[in-house]
Amino acid sequence: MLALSKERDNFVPEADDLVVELRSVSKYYGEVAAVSNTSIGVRRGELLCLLGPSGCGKTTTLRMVAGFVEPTSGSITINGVDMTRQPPYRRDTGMVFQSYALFPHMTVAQNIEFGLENLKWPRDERKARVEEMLRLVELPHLADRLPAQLSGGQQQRIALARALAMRPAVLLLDEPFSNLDAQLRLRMREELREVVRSVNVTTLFVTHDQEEALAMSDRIVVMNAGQVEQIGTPGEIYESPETPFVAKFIGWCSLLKGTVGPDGSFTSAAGLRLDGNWSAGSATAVIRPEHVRLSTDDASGPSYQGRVLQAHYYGGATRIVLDLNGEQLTMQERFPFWRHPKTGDLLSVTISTDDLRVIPAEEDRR
Amino acid sequence: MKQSLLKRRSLTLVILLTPMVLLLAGFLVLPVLGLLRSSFLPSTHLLDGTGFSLKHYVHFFSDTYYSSVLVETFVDGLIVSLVCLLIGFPTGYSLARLTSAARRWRMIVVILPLTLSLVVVVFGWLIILGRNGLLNSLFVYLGIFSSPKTLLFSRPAVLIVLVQQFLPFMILSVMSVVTQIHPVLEQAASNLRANRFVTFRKVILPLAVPGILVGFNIVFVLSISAFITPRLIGGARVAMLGSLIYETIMAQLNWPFGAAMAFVLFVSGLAFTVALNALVASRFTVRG
Ligand SMILES: Nc1ncnc2c1ncn2[C@@H]1O[C@H](COP(=O)(O)OP(=O)(O)O)[C@@H](O)[C@H]1O
Ligand SMILES: [Mg+2]
Repeated sequence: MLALSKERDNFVPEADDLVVELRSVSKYYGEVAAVSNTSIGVRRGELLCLLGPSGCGKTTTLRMVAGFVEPTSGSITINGVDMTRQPPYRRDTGMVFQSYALFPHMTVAQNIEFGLENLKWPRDERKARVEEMLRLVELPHLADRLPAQLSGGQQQRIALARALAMRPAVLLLDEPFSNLDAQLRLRMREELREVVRSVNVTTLFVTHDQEEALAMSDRIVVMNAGQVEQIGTPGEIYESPETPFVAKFIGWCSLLKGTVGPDGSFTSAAGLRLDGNWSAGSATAVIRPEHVRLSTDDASGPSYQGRVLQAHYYGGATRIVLDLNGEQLTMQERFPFWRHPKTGDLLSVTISTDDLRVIPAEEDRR
Repeated sequence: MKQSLLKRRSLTLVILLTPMVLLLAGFLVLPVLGLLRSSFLPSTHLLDGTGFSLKHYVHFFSDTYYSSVLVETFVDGLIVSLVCLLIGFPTGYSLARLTSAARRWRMIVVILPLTLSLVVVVFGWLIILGRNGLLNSLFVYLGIFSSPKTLLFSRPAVLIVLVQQFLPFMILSVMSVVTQIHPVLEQAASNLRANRFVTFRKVILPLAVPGILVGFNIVFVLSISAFITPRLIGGARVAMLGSLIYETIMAQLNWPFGAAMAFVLFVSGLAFTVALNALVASRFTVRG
């Protein structure tokens, strides 16, 4: 395993030191906006993730940074230099393609050396760098293999080594784990994170997997229908989603539409009341499974009677969909097998409102 | 278990191959062997007589006229193949990079000339290149020529017509190999700081070599064995081995000598293409 550089653990990227900056970038295919009026800054040294459902414009955004797609409007700078109309080979980026795109007629070493040749590195420096990169991804014994003789995970690592060999200003990855099986995906996720940290490269990463994004990123850009919904750290995105879309997309949650009264309490459309101190107006409450607990005798706050609509046993825990005064809430609880709730059972629950997020309606209309 | 599966496989293989093997044996190998035999007949006429003699081969190689025609034929074949490659590669490449819907009618344009009888095509060229033909009329009208010139019966005319005839084979071979080269490889090269030219030289070209080689071989073999085009377009002034063989067998009825020339062409053509393929393969295959 690679040695994790410890000081990098507490790394906080500086907000005004941007390696890549997209300003009001749009891309139209005919009438359809794949990306519209998007501004994103990638800070030096950070791992920034573009997260969103399929078709929301993540790949298009990444490819505009690499130069494979020309924006319809807006500008893209890399290290402060305007690159909007420059071809890919003039841009200081290193890309790992979803299909890896290793050159099938070149050996692993030749693949890694390719970019260095084009950068006109002297021969001995190239050879040394190839060896260094192979050691970084822990595959020095595969130097003379052809890509067809490698497993998917190995190809992925070589593609990473090839992109990093050039010391690009920014590393670009488009769903790099989507072609790997679930177990390997977890391991490669760890490895990629370690490699990226050890060489300290600024990284722009695309995924539709929210778990992957939460686990890997310094910051996340949540995208929806070609637009940025929210940019923030994984914690900010999860704990204080700014729009119902973000809340729904990151983790399990139930969204209750309703109003916040003058006393600061929230009442849902179906009449479920939550006490709190929110600002008045129509709003959406984001209730995550961990907010809903079975009532105990010493519980604070009001207790609600809920009817079980569905109960799914997942081994470690049971995910239950409850009907609470006409609102559906999801909760997760560990039940002994013999006390497992069934559809139609009544459960008494409390809703913890301390860190519960209520999104004012103005904020969903951006 | 495994044994019987293997047996069943090889049985299927035999059944699938039999019709083709019979067809080739009956209509290609046997006649060619017959031709080989007749090239050793001492007679200089029809396929009469018996005996064994090398006199036709000796005649071919001792008369510098024939060996110069052989060399000329090969040079022509190379020129036609190279020109086809130069024109056919960009065409085949761009066809391969189109969507299959956009490719459809363009493909028809490429293949259409192949569906016409060669004689029709050649007569078409006669109309274009003739003394009172299209090109002469046009040039005289434009004042480029003061009077009609002889465009036919020259080597360039033969080469142009051969290129026109065989170009589709090159285009189709290049196209089929380029469709196998995923465009993402070009993007990867471009991301790795290779401009269009470097990408072509280091990625596209090496990966397209098998298709280029197939196209080159087909065009070369068709060119060196052409006889209608050199005869009709080149006339008596342009000698290619194919038309010489035709002449010898059909006009002079000298079957044995014609057979000997055919064999020289066959063996030297085969040797040349095998050598070329080996050379290119060793140059472009990676160690690994
Ligand atoms: N070359 C293209 N032509 C037309 N539409 C495209 C093209 N590329 C992407 N799109 C459209 O743009 C939108 C965003 O695509 P994409 O960036 O690939 O999404 P994601 O990577 O987030 O799944 C999609 O609706 C897609 O259909
Ligand atoms: Mg995508």
